[in-house]
Amino acid sequence: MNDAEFSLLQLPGIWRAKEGLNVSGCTRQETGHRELDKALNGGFPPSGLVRIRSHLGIGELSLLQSIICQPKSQKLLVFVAAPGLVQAPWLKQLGVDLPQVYVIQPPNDNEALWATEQCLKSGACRMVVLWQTALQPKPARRLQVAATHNHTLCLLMESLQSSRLSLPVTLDLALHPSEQSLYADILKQQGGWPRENIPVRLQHTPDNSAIMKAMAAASPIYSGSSQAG
Amino acid sequence: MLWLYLDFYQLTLDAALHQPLQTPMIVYHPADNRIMQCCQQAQAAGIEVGMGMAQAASLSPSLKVLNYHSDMEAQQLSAIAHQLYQIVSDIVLLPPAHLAIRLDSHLRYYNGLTPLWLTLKNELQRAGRHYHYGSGWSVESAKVLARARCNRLLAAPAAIRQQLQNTAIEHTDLTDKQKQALNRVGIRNLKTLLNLPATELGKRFHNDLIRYVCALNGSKPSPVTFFRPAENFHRHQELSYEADKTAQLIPWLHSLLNELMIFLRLRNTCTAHVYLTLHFRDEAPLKLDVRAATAMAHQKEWQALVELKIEQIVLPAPVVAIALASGTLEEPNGQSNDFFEDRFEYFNQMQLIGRLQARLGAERVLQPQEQNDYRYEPVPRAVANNVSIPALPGYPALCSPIPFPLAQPCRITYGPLRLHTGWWDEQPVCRDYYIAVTETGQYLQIFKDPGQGWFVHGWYC
Repeated sequence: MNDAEFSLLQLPGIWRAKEGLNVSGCTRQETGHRELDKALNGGFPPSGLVRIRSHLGIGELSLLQSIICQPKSQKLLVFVAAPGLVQAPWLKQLGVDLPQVYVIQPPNDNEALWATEQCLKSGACRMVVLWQTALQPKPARRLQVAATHNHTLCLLMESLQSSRLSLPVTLDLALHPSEQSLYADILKQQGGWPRENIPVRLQHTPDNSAIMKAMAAASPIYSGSSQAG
Repeated sequence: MLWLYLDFYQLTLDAALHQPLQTPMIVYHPADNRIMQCCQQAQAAGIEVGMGMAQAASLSPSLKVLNYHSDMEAQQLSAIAHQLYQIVSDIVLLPPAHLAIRLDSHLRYYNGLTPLWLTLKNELQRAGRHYHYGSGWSVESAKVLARARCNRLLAAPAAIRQQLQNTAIEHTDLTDKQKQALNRVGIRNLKTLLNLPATELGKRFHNDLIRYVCALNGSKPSPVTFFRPAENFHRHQELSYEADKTAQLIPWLHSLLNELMIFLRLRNTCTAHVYLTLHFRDEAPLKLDVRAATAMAHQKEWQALVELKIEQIVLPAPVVAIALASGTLEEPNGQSNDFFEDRFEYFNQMQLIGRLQARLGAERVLQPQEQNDYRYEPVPRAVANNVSIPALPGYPALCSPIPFPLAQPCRITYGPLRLHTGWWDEQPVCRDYYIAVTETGQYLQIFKDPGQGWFVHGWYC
């Protein structure tokens, strides 16, 4: 190893592809899903822009419960341009402190980007969740720089229906439904290799299994009908 | 220069109104036999400021009466100043109930007047203060506009001049004698007074009047002493009712501890020691000493300790007032570096919300609030209180503002959950809610309206 190469490897943003990024220096945030954490070198990055591509409502936010609710932090959690009204009881069930949450409903995409950048730059937020379709690389770069410099995590929620543009992000995830629950694809991650079809178990809605079980136990007729249904 | 003048017209009442009251409440000045302040319920009963006690008592049989003390108002004012000192540094205390704030020196920092004003307004609203305000190029001119209840923030000199000229001369600080003298030479409104050159006035009137008119004009501002936060924390709070249970003291303690936290944050210190004094009507005051293992600066930590201490004691008599003082102030040690982060954030949060509101409008920057109603849509009559109802299983993360017809095939995984409510207001709801999964794996909250078919209302993100 010559001197030039050695000094290059001292830089935090440079790593050998076969070894992966040395993550001992920075703290990763565990998602609580073992397989996913392993594939992500220990968890989510502490800051930067993270894109999550999925259909609306497959549990894409509940999946990140342990990252969204951090009871010790006094910083703000901001939702920008959500495709609906964010429900306070849901936040409470997740374990988020309600006074720390702000919801911003900007009139158009440009204002949404402006508001997100302000939130990231202020240093008052620990996480900003932005819903935006077809974000262009240039504004994405702005958000990425603002988020990394201010040690804030910015989640970009993108619909699977829009075509995928390559963006300068710290982590690029896609979520697909599976028989069991969900598959996560890591399309791109800083300091690691992409990986596909990581199984994630998630139970974020109540179901009728208790009733089904009770009915099946009571009468064999019902057990047949529940399988058909 | 641009000054903001705040007139806190019901300071005693604001301090007492920590919890919603059942009976109307008034603040009474016994020496003058004059009602000084009255709450909304009292106003609804027909009571007005300036009435005598007998008249007020005849209008409402059940009145809660607080006595007016100007030094208590001054204490409250100092608490407000400590709170606002986090946002603006140039504050002038004008006891008993007025503040003047110099705005122009902060315009660059806040990137304009509107964000600065919104930040101030949010802070005052959070503290639950009521006030009239006015702005001007000097403390005196802002004061005249605040007294006239202008309640607009004017920045352009022409606009301020016009507003001043349209204000009645009664709102100025001129004494009756001075007004009479002016009246005798034909000066009956502010417009003529302000348009007279100072040399002309000098020939006829006393120096005091000329000094005042010059200050009003903004040509020669009068010197002011800026507010400096105190070295040690000490607050005294009279209760609006006599508390005979310790649990009744908790809300008062919360607000006092909150003030203590603001004080500590401002000075970059923490304390391991808090003195609490409970005052009774006849008995000697009870002194409590709350100690922590290490110096702390967070409200939650102190709150837990003080509540524990308070629960243990037995009150010998009803409490009429409480006082809170900090012990020795300590420098925060290097290990608790989150202390600084927190301080840093508080300013930034105030500034960020002000900036967002200024550009997008306050109605686009919201905080989700719980309502004590099972309906998923916001209920028109704002019941956004903190009374929580038992939670339903499985709340959707997002709800559509208007439900839309279900158009894709899906399979029901949970339900039904029948909601039959709101028959007493304009939004009656009778729906069977289900959770359904589509072929793409989306969890939808759907409902069936009797006769109208299936609708999608929310998403389980």
